[in-house]
Amino acid sequence: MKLEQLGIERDRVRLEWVSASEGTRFAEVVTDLTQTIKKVGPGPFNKQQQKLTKESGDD
Amino acid sequence: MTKPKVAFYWNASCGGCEETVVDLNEDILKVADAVDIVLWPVALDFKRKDVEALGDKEIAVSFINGAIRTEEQEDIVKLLRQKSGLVVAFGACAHLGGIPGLGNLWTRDTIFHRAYKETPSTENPQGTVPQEKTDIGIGELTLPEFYDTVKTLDQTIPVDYYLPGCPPPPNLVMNAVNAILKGQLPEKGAVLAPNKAQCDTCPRNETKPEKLSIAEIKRPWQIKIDPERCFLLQGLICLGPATRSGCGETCIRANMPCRGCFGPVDGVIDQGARALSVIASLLGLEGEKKMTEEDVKKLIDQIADPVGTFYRFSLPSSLLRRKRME
Repeated sequence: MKLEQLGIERDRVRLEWVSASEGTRFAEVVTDLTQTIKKVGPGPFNKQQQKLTKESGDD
Repeated sequence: MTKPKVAFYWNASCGGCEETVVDLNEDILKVADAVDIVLWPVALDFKRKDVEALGDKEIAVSFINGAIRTEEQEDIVKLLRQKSGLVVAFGACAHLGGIPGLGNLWTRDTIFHRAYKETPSTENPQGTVPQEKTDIGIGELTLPEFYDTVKTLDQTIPVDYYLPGCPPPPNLVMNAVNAILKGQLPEKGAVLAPNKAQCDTCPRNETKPEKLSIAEIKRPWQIKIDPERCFLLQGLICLGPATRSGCGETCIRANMPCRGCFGPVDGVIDQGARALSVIASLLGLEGEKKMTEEDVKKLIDQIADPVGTFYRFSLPSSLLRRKRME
């Protein structure tokens, strides 16, 4: 909810519990999330952060 | 022996930091005796050209309050940095972005639209908004650029020390001034307040149990707040666990939970994230095994305005700094 307030789509974040012995499930979860994010597309954050940092002369 | 030169300047702020200097009461006479104030727009008549006329680092210390949100503010703090030996970010706005920092949920266009066109009591049929340049026939009037994004002081110029608080309490200010005059300052970059969380010094911390669980979140106006018990126990969101101490817990003693104005302790980059994770770790702890997704969502949805609650003073200093801009 906080992320949405800041403009980050819900789809970009997921919370899953996967045990170390659930290798197949881990692969499924990661593949699925990767596909979802590809659908949502690149966020503006990298460019926005770079621009803000450059403007500030920040470290 | 010449007295050290001192400057006070204000940017995007409310004036409370100037108030706190006045609240030094008699101590202000000691300060006035010991230093030579060369700039203080709220109280004295020095102009920008007086500052320009000084040599580099001729000002011993500049205390700068307020966040940076216009071109003029950025300009003058860069000038003050050049002319000052030390720069102290004075107050939450300079330190973390402060309340003006919540403007980072908006942009210049949306803010202007709201302030100059949309508010119910505004009569502006021509839809006039401030412009950087306006030709009035006999010449051109200019206004400084109004940025989309509010910045902290250290995102604009290098800062030597931070005096936290909204505003910094008078005793903290006095300690800082004395430390500067005596040359007894800690390592550069330090926040001039104790490095521990509020809970450590809170007068209610004895009522805080080892294992604390919040079953339901309340807003301050919803309950009669018990003046002795820990706020978290009463379901009120208190940012004490994620906030630096040193304020004397004035809000707590006025029976209101901490809102986090002092910022985080050393080592925490993003206060809002830290505050959120503290509260999240306490929500529905008891009986959490029996809670459904629905129950959890309902509990969390009781937090009316997460960014405003957890990043109330610190949005510009956070990792994301602002809401996504298209």
